Amino acid sequence: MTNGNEAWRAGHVLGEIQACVDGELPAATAERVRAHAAACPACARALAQAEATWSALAVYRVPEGARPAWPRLRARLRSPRRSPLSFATGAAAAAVAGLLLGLVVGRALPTGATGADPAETLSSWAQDGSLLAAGGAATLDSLFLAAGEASAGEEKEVRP
Amino acid sequence: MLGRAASESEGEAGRLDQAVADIVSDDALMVRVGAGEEPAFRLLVERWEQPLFGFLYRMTGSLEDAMDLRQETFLRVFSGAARYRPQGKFRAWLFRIAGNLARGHLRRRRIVRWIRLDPAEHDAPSSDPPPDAALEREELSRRVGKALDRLPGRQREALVLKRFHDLSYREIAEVLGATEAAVESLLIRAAAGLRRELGEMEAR
Repeated sequence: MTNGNEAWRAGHVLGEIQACVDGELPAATAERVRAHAAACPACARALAQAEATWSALAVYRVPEGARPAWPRLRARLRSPRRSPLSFATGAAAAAVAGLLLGLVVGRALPTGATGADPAETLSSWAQDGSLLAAGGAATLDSLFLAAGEASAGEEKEVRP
Repeated sequence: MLGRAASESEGEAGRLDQAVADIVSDDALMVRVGAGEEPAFRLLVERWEQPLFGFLYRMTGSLEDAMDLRQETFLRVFSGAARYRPQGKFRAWLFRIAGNLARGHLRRRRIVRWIRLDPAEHDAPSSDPPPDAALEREELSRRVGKALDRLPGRQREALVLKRFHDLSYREIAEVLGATEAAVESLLIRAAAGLRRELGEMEAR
């Protein structure tokens, strides 16, 4: 590792070492960098370090055993269905939509006679996922009905 | 679009003589894929499945994830073929799709691991018990895989594209939607991160 002074002394090629190792420099420039490194210990060290790092990657191999892509793809193309990734994206979008729906609709509900705010109740259900887990819109309707019945029942109790 | 393609028989891929198929450019194939020609898509898939799998494995460290993401990438290639503009940049376009999917996957996986407190694991390259020399190589490979896994997604992607797929800075810049200078900077930081991670593993 070069320290600040070394980097300053050798800075004029240190900035080109990565591109040199990556084969991104014109041949003449790459030759100049390597010639400089041959005479400059700090740049030589940086160059060797960069090359060693890339060489270390050579041992990283990809395992055998990947199934050919085409049979699965052909089946998918001929019988389209949602992919697991698309499904995950869709599920996440549905979760967010459900949460927003719960919040928006919940806020529109009147406060119950007992003081428990149905909006808060629905929002908390939506937040803890029970609203979604319970089945989406149909459940939302039944929750509205339940909230309405509960309110009505409470109203009946307080009537003389 | 797929109806006509679906009705074509499996053997139609053979219509294109292999020698001819090898010199048909990716762009030319994409034009045909855009017209719904399944045999052209098959050629494209068979041409790119290995490089794409290698890229996605090095990005995810998982055989199954790499195969799933490869599948998803090809499906997106197929569905985007009609909008594809042939400009000789198919490779960058392909890796861009795959890279976006891989980075999204890595983000989700990190969250899941964080929730489960799972350590990062890399698939073993082989299920068979290897001989001693091979064991050492596999251990080294596993270490490099773990070190790669700890790099930020874009650094890792730039490194994999450069070191294993020999993309130029310009191509990597197209894949990542960045400048060439930014790519060089990503590679410098990736190399430093890799050295640090490997050094720490060595010290343990």
